[in-house]
Amino acid sequence: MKFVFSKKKNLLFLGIFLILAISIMLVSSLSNSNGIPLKEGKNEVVLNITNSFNASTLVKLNPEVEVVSYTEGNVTFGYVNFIGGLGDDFEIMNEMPYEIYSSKNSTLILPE
Amino acid sequence: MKKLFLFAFVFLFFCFAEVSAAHYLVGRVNNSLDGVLADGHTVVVWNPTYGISENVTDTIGPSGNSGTSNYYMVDCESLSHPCAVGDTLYSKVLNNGDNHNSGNVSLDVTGAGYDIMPSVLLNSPINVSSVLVDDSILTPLNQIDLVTASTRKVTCTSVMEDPEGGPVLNASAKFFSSGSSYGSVDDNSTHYTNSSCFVNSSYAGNASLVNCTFEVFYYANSENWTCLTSAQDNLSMGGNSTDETFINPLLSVGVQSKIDFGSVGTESVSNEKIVNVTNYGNVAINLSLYGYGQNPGDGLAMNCTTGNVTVGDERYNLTSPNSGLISVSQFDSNYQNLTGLYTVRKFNLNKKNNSFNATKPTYWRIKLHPVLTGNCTGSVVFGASSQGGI
Repeated sequence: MKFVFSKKKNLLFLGIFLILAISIMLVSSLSNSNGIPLKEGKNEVVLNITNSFNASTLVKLNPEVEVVSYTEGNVTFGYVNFIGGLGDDFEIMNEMPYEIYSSKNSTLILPE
Repeated sequence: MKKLFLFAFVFLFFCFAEVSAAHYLVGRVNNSLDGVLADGHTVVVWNPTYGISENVTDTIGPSGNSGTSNYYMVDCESLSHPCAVGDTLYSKVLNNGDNHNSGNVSLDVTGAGYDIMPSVLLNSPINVSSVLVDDSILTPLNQIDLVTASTRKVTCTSVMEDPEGGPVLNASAKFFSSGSSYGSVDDNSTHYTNSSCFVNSSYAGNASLVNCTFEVFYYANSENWTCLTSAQDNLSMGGNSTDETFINPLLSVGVQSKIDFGSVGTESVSNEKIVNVTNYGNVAINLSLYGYGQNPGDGLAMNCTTGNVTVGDERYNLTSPNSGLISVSQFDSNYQNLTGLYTVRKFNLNKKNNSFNATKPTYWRIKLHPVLTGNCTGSVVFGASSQGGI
């Protein structure tokens, strides 16, 4: 099967794609501001922070956070909010993507 | 157009590449009842649908993912087939060589941030103590006296207990000489195995009394012997212990019941009779020999209806035959005379083993004088000696 695209359609496709991508980036940047809403379950967040802090600090401020994790290459590092904290108490950095699992809808509190 | 798609693909890839996907399973492993720490042991987690060969592992304790003593933590989404809500996953502690492991525990994956595996106890191996190996003659201790041409029952007893209170399974024992080893094949001279020992599980509390018996042959080597007794618990973790004893030397010889020279003319030498001598002990022997007519020390070889045969007129050759008719002078030169007092003769008859039956022929003749009539009877006493013979 072979698809044939006209120049007009190409431009239309590129335009839709760029609008979609810009929308995603916009939503993402909005979520990086203070008072990041967390829904119950998995949340992909990128934090806009000045000073880095440890995962344990985030969990202490947000007891509803069950797991914080990130992936580097093929390896996933996680910190689990169980018996005072299990796992790698890694440093949360600015502009890095993290997965935060929340036990309920809430707003993520960041250290000052 | 192709370049446009490529650009779009690369753009999207970099937008979403670092999104993590993890679902953690955490679990506690308690230290074993015999005091071994769970930390440092390996836990394996798998989905039985895909088999245990597809697994994720973690080290319990600070050196593992959890960073916390007695806990492990794995990401089940890192399985080749990532876990999903509703999957049943199993975990267990592997034996790292110290004979400690655990049974399987399982859980159903939920939609929560993480799941907690049921706690497990690090399983201890069977504890084996109070091993004693001996025959039925307990004094002196740690000495076994074999029975000539027969077997001696040797019993290896021990007390076994599973610290978790489980059953004692596959109780077995090996009894082997210092010249052999635990893994050697069975050999009546050096190595015995009992794979079905008797387990008395109502001995005391959780402890069982285990009796392993061996029928030890008369030619078992005279040296130090070890009984190693072992068993497994219901998770196949084995324990063992040993005791040593010594098998005493056994000097023993056997011959056929009669030397029948048949009818012998007076003033002549009988035909040669072969007497097979068997070593029924566990050391190499020489022969001690003496003869008598009616009573030891009477100086006779035989007592006849009329007259008698002096002990020196019955002769033997312990090494080679001389068949056919022979003269008196050949009789005197080729055979050694029997004596009335025991004399040790070099015979060098080794003990029996798997390829040697420990039987050797001896050759006998008798010379009769003219005055003899009737039947003649006498005794030759064969003895085994460890002394050097002449």
